[in-house]
Amino acid sequence: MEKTSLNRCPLCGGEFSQSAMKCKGCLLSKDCGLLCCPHCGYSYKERSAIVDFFKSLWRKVKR
Amino acid sequence: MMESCKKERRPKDSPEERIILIGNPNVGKSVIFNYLTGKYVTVSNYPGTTVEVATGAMAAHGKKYQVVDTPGINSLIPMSEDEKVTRDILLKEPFTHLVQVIDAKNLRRGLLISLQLLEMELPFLTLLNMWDEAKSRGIEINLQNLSKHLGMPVLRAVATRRKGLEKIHENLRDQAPAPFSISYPEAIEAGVSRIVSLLPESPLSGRSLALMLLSGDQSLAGWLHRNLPEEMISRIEAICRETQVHFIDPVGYLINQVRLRKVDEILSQVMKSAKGLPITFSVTLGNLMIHPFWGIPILLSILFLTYEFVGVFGAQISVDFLEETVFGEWLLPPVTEFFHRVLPIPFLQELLIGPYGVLTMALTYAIAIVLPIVGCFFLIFGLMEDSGYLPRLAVMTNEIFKKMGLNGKAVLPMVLGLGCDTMATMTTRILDTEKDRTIVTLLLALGVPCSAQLGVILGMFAGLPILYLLIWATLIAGIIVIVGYLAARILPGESSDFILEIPPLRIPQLSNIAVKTLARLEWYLKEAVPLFILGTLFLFTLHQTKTLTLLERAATPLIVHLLGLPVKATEAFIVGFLRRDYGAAGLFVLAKEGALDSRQVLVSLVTITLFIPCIAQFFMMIKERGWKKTFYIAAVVFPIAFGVGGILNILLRFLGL
Ligand SMILES: Nc1nc2c(ncn2[C@@H]2O[C@H](COP(=O)(O)OP(=O)(O)OP(=O)(O)O)[C@@H](O)[C@H]2O)c(=O)[nH]1
Ligand SMILES: [Mg+2]
Repeated sequence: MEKTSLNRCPLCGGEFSQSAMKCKGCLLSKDCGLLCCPHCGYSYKERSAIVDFFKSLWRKVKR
Repeated sequence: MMESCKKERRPKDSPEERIILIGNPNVGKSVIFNYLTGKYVTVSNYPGTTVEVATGAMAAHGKKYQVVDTPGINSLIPMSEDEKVTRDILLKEPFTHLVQVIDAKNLRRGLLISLQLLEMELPFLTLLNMWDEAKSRGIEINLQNLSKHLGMPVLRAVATRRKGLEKIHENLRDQAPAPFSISYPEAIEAGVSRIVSLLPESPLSGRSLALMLLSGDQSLAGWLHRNLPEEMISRIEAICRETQVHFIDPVGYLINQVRLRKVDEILSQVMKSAKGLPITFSVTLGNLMIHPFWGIPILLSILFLTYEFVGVFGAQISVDFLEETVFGEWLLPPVTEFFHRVLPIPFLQELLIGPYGVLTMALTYAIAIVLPIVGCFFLIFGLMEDSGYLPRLAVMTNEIFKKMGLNGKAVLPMVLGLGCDTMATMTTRILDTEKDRTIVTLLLALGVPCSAQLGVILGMFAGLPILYLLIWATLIAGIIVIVGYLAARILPGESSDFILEIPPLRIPQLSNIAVKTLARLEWYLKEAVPLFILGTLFLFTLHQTKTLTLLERAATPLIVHLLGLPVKATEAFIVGFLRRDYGAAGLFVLAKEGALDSRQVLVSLVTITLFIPCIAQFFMMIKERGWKKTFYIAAVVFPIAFGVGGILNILLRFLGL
């Protein structure tokens, strides 16, 4: 079951589920991690791998 | 505490009163639920789903209540199973009281649900939870005022500290709200009244159900089939289709827009945002930014600040530091030294640290030149996104282009092209006709520089009088407008507006901007470095096989005679085909070494902006438009790029600039 977490497109303001916005992959790369708004096509990046890495590290340290 | 036991559901005719908790995800419903019910809790799957719904008992003033905690929702037009369960509870289960929990820091989201509850004509109590966090962020909400707008009681609470929760049962409502209605566009209203007359009795108002159906809510199908004959359902479906015909955007989207506008109207009267900035001030400023007259000076000054920041801080200060100090003094000398010692094979030395070496060229260009510049650019992008300026920028650009007779919808992919042309080429799918798509694809290939290239270009102009930048911008914009104007004349079809939701202006959160910028930089490095290396290897091979000299000689009539550039600029055009920003970076280095005078800078930048798109965009064009059209587009772009560059060169010489 999918949790309802919506992403808001910074350009057109449409709200879509993460899976609907995920880049379908193009000729350049399979998964560039960009979110792409299905309504207006604006693509942007929300999450940083570096930040996520440090967050998970921090969680491990806390445990 | 909430371990699941028997699937116990109270009989429907239970004399007990039922309270339902409803609200956005993560607003504290479950904390409140636990407070109200203590430990007598049953968790069971909602019939036919895997969604868990907790039910518990509560007693107050000698009365017994049954409390239901529902899954969080973002809209009452369900997009997920969770949301469907919550909506179905409202639609099917008998209840007496409704408590809407709102996260006070996210009043906007919450009010969107409140409005829908009002439209359903349900009585409810609004609980503004997380009051502590809202307060610490400097958000002020006028409860009485809000209560007046909603016609419903509004309480504040800090659920985790059990504050404010004791007042819930005193304020429970069971009287239907005063009539409340938002007016939607005429065609939608017409659809609503036609559908209402067909609907069966239900606990929710016919109007709200009609709006859900018009929004394309598929999840109501089951309920409809149980309550209406087939023939009626197909009539409703026909009405929905007929209504949609009036609009380009989905009706559900438009309905949401109208609701959001109402929410903002209420917000502007009940809320003061952080830092004591009265919400009315930011509303005024936000409106000025899209004002047909005042919007333009604001747009220009923001662009000017961007140029100063990217050009001076990014392209001068940061690049100087990274290229000359970090790479030039700290990294490259020891690395060169190291390879000279451990790798005594001249070929490999050349490959890594020669003039076309992977380290000396590819990585230095990618990390020391382009990275700081696009980093500054991404930072500005993040600021624009989070402050809410970006949609306003799009609106302004759209206005300007519309005045020039361009199709509103076609402008969007071009604005997006400023981010990445490859992506924007894909976006041309949102256009209605193949002709439209072809023209926009052409314009993207021709005149729209991508963010990385634009950054480097701005950086190069920062060293010259601003006149040069203005000439460049006027030329490129002029070419786009002329080509676009001609295209729009040749192409039939009505111009359509593209609907954006304009969010309130707000002060961006610094941490969020930092994460975004970092995320974009990671993405940039991942995408760009491999191609920079590939390009360098290509140049290296050309150089080693002496083909480079041949190519340079072959290109001399174009590069040297027509454009008046040094022969080495040929390399920039070669690698520019792999990545636009790589080409620009090549020119950047030439200019920095003093190999280009200001006229040459201007001519080369105009040419490289118009020049063939990068390889990724090229492939995307082939994929989207096919070989033949891509070939034609290239056949148009190439002569225009060199033609305009050549004419400019002659003109500038003639004028003696
Ligand atoms: N600071 C603060 N935190 C709160 C308050 N109320 C709830 N929280 C926290 O917010 C988080 C979410 O609370 P939940 O009760 O699980 O939220 P929910 O609405 O049930 O969420 P879903 O079931 O996912 O829709 C928890 O970590 C709570 O501790 C409050 O008044 N102040
Ligand atoms: Mg919960």
